[in-house]
Amino acid sequence: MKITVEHIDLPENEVILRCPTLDEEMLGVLSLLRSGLQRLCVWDDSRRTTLLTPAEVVYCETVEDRVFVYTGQAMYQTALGLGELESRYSGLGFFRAGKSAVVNLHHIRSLASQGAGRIEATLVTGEKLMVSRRYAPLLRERLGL
Amino acid sequence: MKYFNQFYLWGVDTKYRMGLYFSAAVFFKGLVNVLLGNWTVDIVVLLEMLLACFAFACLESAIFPYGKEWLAKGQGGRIALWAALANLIFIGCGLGLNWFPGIPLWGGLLLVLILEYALLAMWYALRLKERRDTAALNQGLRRFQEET
Repeated sequence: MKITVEHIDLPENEVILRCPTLDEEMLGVLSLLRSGLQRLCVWDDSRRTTLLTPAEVVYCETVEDRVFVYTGQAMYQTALGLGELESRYSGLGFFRAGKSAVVNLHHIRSLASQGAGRIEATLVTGEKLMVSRRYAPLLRERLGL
Repeated sequence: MKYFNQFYLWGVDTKYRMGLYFSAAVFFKGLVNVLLGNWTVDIVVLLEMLLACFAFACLESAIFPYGKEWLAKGQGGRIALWAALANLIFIGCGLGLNWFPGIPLWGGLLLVLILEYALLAMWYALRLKERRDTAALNQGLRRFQEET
């Protein structure tokens, strides 16, 4: 990718992306530019980008080095890693539930102690997600227990 | 060092379980002896009980290694094996090594009933602990969701 920075007199900073199609690289750049806002830039199967509010996100997971974002109705991809998602939106309820998942605590319907230090989270979508033994103490701490 | 640490942690866990079973065995041995008018306990019997408890604790840690859930679905076979081994070891040693000489038949049956009750109580205690933890987790979750 060719990067050009032009110093010209403009009333407002401007970024123009030029590309034949929105490929992974360009989606990643878009995502980075837009993540300056509190919104999360994601794209769907047809590579249509969408800006999600963190509150819309139920959980995120990595599958084969790709980060998928799940809302109650749809599934998207994002260029941000799980670590970035967690640190960026931690204050909005994002919590690292395992090596490959970040969950929005506001979208958990119930929690169940599973012995051996693990916790099973039932999401509002009805899906179940296991908080691993490593992250369960952090969840307890987050919940003030 | 990794293997030593694993062995050490296993030892700590097994020692704790062995101690728990041994204290129960000594309590009932002492109680039966006192009821039979005997205020002493043979050291050999204590040693046999200690070894039996150690053997059971080792088998228990093999059936339920650290991190293996007792109450998870599909653990029925393991729990049945654990209960069967407890019966085999404690009833077998009680009869074979004559831990309770002079005890009437009804007394022996009562001890067996107590053993079964104790095994059930252990399972129930785990379930109770899990339920209490689940309630605390959900309370914390609701508080978090309301506050933020």
